[in-house]
Order: sequence, then structure tokens, then C-alpha cells
Amino acid sequence: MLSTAPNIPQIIDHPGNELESVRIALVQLAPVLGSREANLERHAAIAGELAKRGIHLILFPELSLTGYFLKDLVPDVACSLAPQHWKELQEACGSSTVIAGGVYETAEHIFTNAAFAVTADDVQVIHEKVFLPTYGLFDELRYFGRGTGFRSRMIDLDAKPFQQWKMGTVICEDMWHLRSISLLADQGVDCFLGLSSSPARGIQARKSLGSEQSYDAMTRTYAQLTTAYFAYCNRVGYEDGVAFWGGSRLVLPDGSLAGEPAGRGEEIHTYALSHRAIRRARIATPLLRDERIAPLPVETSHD
Amino acid sequence: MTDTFTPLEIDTDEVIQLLTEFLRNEVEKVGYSRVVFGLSGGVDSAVVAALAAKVFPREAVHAILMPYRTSTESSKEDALAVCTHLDLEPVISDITPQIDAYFSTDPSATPSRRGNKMARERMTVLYDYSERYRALVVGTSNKSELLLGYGTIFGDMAHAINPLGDLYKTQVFALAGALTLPEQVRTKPPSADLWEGQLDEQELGFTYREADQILYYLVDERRSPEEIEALGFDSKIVNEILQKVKQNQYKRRLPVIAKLGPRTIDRDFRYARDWGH
Repeated sequence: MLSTAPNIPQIIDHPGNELESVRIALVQLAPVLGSREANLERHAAIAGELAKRGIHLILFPELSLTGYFLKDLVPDVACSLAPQHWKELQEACGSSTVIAGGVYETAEHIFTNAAFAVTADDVQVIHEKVFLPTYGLFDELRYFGRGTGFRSRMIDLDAKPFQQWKMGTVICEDMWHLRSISLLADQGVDCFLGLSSSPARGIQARKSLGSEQSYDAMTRTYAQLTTAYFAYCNRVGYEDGVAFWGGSRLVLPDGSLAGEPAGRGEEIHTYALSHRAIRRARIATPLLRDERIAPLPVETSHD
Repeated sequence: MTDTFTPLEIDTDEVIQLLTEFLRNEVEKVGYSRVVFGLSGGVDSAVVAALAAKVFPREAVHAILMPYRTSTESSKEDALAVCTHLDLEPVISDITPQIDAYFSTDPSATPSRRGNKMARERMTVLYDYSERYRALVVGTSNKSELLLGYGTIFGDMAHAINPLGDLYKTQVFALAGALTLPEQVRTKPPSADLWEGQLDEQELGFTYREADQILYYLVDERRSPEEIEALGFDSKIVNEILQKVKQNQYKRRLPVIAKLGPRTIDRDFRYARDWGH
């Protein structure tokens, strides 16, 4: 545990002992609802600090730049890839890649719940949420357009030694659909990046928080069955009385947890990722090799 | 109907953690650091007091006792016992002068009118203390009361935030046990204490234990009345409860606004209350 500058959550390191590893940080924070400026400033401060510490990939939660229950604020907090929206964060990135959640406004003025990959010299949308929930307390399809597919992305995380990672991004409700995971697994992803704004629900005795149980089961099962890493970054804080439960974690390619998951407050957890762990898992359990992939739908085209 | 109804059993540690963080978060992010609430001597406000005392320093927790001359002495004693237990400084604001002055020209007013007037008087007192102490008003209505409409609109149902609104009365009792509140508060029969001898369960015509189970099946599990009766519940009570939930929907919503323009508040002008926080 290292001390941090003000306004930067506590950083908890899970060093690991893998060779040729890159480092990933899961930034579990509570965004301000509807203030892209305030959140962007915080992202830049945190990214700057983590970049200084040599973190290669910095993952933020779903809609980390805007807050979750946006309703009619969606167009107000949306942004395109235009440089003026990203300058502050890009300047803070150093040689790190930042994955942040926000509202993307397409050239056609459709708003999507998106994951942005930001580096010092580039900004891209790497995924737009496909499955927009409208049940219970959710109402996303009223406000957002749907993403069109699940495409893995190669991300260069380090030059020495050269580290290319094939990432498969899913946003919250996407994880509840086996199809999302299966389409990305078919593309042979090395690591799933799960961005989440998962509300805490379920308070029955002798059961842990219902939503936490579900994500724990899903992330461990997905990692084990795909022999890939699963990095899950959930937000914390409250919006209109709804608590977000945090619990961000890294699951290893054998389905085990890399250290204790994050708690309920703002925390940053850093981990080591190594292709060697994926290799070992795929030798021990060659599920990807033995998979028989049916004809692929159009939407699964590779990057 | 079973005696051990597990869906309503709560993980009290989990709930206490969620609710204390709720209070801290929803109070502090709107720029407040103090809370104020009415402390009646009943279990709901005692639980709110205990939760608030876990979050804020004692001088930032303002428990206001607002007795009327017919309020039972034991209510006041129980409220004071809660304050002693939690090391809170009580404020006593007797509402008798205002209430009696108002009804002096209309002595025939019914107990119900008097009770509702008292509940609204208490609300105005709390909002005055809110401004005086710069403290956010915390509500103490539980889910059973809110669903059954067993509260006064713009009276006890008016407040800024409410930690108990998603807990049934029987769950509030469980929480009171976990928070080790004084025994008399945890064991006495619930009463709004709006007139002498008033008891919630007598007035409602069923017990909270029964109502909470029916409400859980009806609201949380969305079972039909027929399905609930098939579990062994009295069909008359199931239907009475369903009627109360329907009839009192108005108390749980903003006033109805006649729609005229392109974006009408709460219909197609939709923002979270925590907008900007």
C-alpha cells in the first residue's frame, strides 16, 4: 500500500511474480453525476499518478467520465473523438493507455455508452455497449443507441519487451449475455476488460450481496472457460440512493482471483498481467484449441 | 403462511454498512455535514438516530422531540432513552401551543384531522431546524408505511432523504436489534401516537408481520393475489392491502402536473436528483 496525493484513492498493489509482465490498474471511483469536466480532471490526475508509477493500462468503470443515472443529461455530457475533449487526459497519460467510460456521440448524433481508449497520441472508441437494460431500475435503451458488436482490439502496452494484448471489452449488462463473452472468446482474447456500474441489490440474511455474488461467479467462470484474464472494474458511490458496490478484481486465466477484490470505497488496485500465465492455462486446459466455432455472424469481424 | 419467513430476514451488517454510507454520501455530496430528524420514541426514528450517530459526530446529529400534550409520557421517555444510549443531545419542541391555537376555533375537529395537522406541524418544525442548523432532514418512513400509505402526505412523508424507505417494518425491528437499541424501543407495539391509545396494527386491521409478508410477495416478487392466497394468506387481507397500495400511490409521487409544453417536469424532463453531485 502506497501513500497517494490528495484526491487520488488509495493504491493497493498486487505485485505477482510473473516474468515479462505488464501492469494494469483498476480505478474504482465514484464519479460526479453529470459533470464531465470534474470527472475528466480527476481522471487526468489519477492517470498522471499511475503513469508515473509505470502502470501500462489504466481501467476506469462504466460511464466513469459522466456518472450513471444520466437520463436527459446524456446529450449534455456526450463527446466525440475531437481533440479538445481529450487534451487534458492525453497530456496526463505518459506512456500509459487509459480505458475510460463515457458517452460517445457519433457523427450521426447517436449517443452510445462507450469505452474510450486514450493514449498520448490517440483516442479511440473500443466498444459501445450492446445490451442496454430496460428492466428493474434500468432505462438505458431510452437514452442510448446500441453498439453493433464485440470486436477484440490489439493494444500495444509496452515496447520493451514488445507487448501486444488482444483485449475484449464488455460493459456491465453485456456480461450477462453469454453471447458477448463467447464472441470475444472465439477471437482468442487475452484479457477481458469489464467496465461496470453495478448497483448493490439483495440484502437477504446468509447471502452476500446478490449483485456481488453474480459478478463473482460470472467473472471467475468466464476467465476459466476462456483461459483469459478478466479485469472487472466497478464503480462505487451513490446516485439517488442507489449504491454501487465496487468489488473490482482481476481474475487469472485459471479462474482464480489475483488477491482480495476491492472493497466498497474508492480504491485503486494494480496487478501484473503476463502472456505466460495465459500460455500455462492453455497448455493445462486447451479449451480454445479444442473449440469448434460455428459460422460466425457478421458482427464478429476481427479488428 | 410460515413462521420462519426467510426472504424478509436481512443481513443486518450489510444493511448497516449500506445505510451508513448512504447517509454519509447523500448528505455530504450536497454540501451538508449535519442531519436533523424527529425522534418519537418509536423504533423507526430510533434506528435512524443510531445510523446517523454511526456516521456523524454527535454535535452534528440533531434529534428533535416534538410532543403534543396527548402524546404518551412513555414515548418521550423512550426517545430520551435513545438519546442517552447514543449520547445525543435532544431538542424538545412542544407543538401543543400551535396545534391548540389552530383548533381553538374548531373544537369538533376529528382525531384524524388533528393527527394529520400535528404530523405537518412537525414537518415545518424540522424544516425550520434544517435551516437553523444547516442540517438535512432525514425521513423515518419505512417501506410498509409507504406502501400502505400509513403516513401523512407533506407531514412525516416529507423529508430530504430516507434510509429506511426500502425496509419493511419487521426488517426495521431486526435492524434495531442489531443496533442494540434500548429494549423498550425494540419491543413495544408500533404506534403513530397521534391520539391516545392509537396502535398501528389495531388501526390497520392486520399485523405488520402478516402485511410485510404479503407486501413482499405482492411488490417484490410480483405474485398475483391468487398466488399469495394459495400460500395460505387470508384473501380479505390480501385484497385490503392491495387496495391500500393502489389508493395511496398519490402520496408517493410528485403532484400531477397538467402537460402543456414539450418537456414537462417528471414526465419528459428527466434528471436524477443527484444531478451535478
